[in-house]
Amino acid sequence: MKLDQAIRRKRKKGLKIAGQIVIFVVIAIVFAAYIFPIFWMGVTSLKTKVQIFDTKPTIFFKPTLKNYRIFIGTEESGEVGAGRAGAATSFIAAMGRSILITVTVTILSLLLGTMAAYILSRYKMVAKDDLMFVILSTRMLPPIVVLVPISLLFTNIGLKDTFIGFLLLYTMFNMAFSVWIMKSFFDDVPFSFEEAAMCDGYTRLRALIKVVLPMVKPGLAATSIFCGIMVWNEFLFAIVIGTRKWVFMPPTIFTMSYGTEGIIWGVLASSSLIYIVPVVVFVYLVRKNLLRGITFGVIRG
Amino acid sequence: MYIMSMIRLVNLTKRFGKTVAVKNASLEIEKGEFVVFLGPSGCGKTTTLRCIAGLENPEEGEIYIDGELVNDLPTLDRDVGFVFQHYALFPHMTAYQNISFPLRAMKYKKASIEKEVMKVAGLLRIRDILQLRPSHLSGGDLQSVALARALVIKPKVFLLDEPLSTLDAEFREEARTMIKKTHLEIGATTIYVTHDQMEAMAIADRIVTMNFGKIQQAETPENIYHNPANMFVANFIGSPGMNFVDCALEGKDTMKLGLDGKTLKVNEAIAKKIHSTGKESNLVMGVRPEDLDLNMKKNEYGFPMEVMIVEELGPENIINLRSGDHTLKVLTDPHIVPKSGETVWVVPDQERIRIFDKETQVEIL
Repeated sequence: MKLDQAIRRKRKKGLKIAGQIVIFVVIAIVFAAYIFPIFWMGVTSLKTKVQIFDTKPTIFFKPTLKNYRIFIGTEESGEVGAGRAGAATSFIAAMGRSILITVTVTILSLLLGTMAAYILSRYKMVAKDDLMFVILSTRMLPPIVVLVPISLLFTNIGLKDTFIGFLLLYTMFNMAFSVWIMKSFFDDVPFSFEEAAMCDGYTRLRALIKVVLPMVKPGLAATSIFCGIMVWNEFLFAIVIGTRKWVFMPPTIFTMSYGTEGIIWGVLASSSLIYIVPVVVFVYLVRKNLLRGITFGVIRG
Repeated sequence: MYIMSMIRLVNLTKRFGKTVAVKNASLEIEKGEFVVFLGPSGCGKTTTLRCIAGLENPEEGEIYIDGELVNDLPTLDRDVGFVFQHYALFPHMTAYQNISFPLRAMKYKKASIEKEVMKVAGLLRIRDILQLRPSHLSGGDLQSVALARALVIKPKVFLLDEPLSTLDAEFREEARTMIKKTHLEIGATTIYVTHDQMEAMAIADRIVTMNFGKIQQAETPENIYHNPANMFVANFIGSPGMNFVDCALEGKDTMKLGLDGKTLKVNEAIAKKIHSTGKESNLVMGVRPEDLDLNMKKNEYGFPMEVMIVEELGPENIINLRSGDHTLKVLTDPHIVPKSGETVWVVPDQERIRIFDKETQVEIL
């Protein structure tokens, strides 16, 4: 009897270890699938053109920083046809423009989205559900459908290739998302927190700032990540509307790594790798705020 | 001489859409008084409290705090401390930050904030948990922190909305005593909302019973218990509540009861009093369970009933009696244990019989 139990326990323990190994292997495979392209990009960015086109991929080679020198502009790629005629094609400048538009659009959509969502969550209003649907409907058709009309519109009203134009366009893209996400977070915060703050001598606005906003921090973090990445990655409108002055990173990478002889893999790899860095840093910085845990278990019912 | 009351409600009416939550409530509460709003859920007690705090706007009527009309004053200017049913402590702040929150609104200096917080924390015995966040506190501690946050600004009026309803039964009595003790120490005018009549009886200076948005009776616990204004109050207060039997006066000293035509002999004094009210039939007799005596032998001042169930509670027994479809509850000493099916004679304490009008349900005697 006792022996039986001991065996069973041992078997159970064995199963547990086996289960953990399986889980570990699965995680390793998934992780590799995600990390390998980035690793390969890194390797490629350190190779010369000849090494890249070698039929037997080499693991050990003498790394070159040429592709990075091209990125910062101290060296020309020497490829015919790379870069767009007449456009501002410096990587560094494009990076700056991308960071500028991403930061401003993210702040603006967060600000407007949060304010709209708070009102929609807290106040009684006529046809609120319909309004929410209208806001959501701006995301219902693929952006490419409106690409040509918007491009023409922007040309006619003088917004084409301007910072304000992109600011309006991208903020508009993000509003539906930020309003919906933030509203769901506000809905989860019981109104009695604000009532408590008001009893403690705070105005509605100060109650919002001091009490409600800290409690929806995970929502603010998630929204800023999604809005930021959307702007950072936007290619379609960027290449059509930003023709000369306001050329962002995605079109720049595209034009700078295409020559008449085909794709310039080294430059593509180095610029893409650098392009990833700000996003990684940003997500790393706000990751703690994504935890929803702190608001749980305090108010029930 | 007119003593200015701390809180005065004049014909307060609050509607939510078509439902009337509070109907024509008028009430005066004196300075330093501990008043309990008591009633079943949905009776308007919490709504009245929220109107006083300014969290709801009444459609009609006036609210005065310390002689000042506050109808149009926002909550933050009313000088009230409010303890919410679920405490509403801010989860992203420690207990200390929660308690100092109202002081920070008033731009207190850091040193005086600390002094005030420590004072109130000492009063409520929570000094050792001040650095913890609400998610790490027990129900009783959450309760104390919520009280401290409301008390720290020394409000004119202290409002508590069912503060004990989320506590476990074992802490409830302790917390109740703590609230009463705190009230005695600081003497703030307090309104306390509850649906628990025992709680209300235990801590109130005055109980305001409410039902269907109307104030039924606002008196001391003793008066409410012994002289209920109507059948609702009589039944709601007390556990078990008051027994009711339909009755009508017949002849000089006989009551015809609504129990299969049984009769009960009453004192001439009572009969005379009933007679003097001018209404002799369509009455309801109310007797508290402890004011009924059980007799094994026939008694002319009693009436027979059949024993149905005996509930032995330890210090006392509840005996459920039956006559036809009608049941009565009797509270007896623990040694009285009749067998079920037995017939006993129920003898009411004549002095404690209350008579109500059957239609209006109002006490007439």
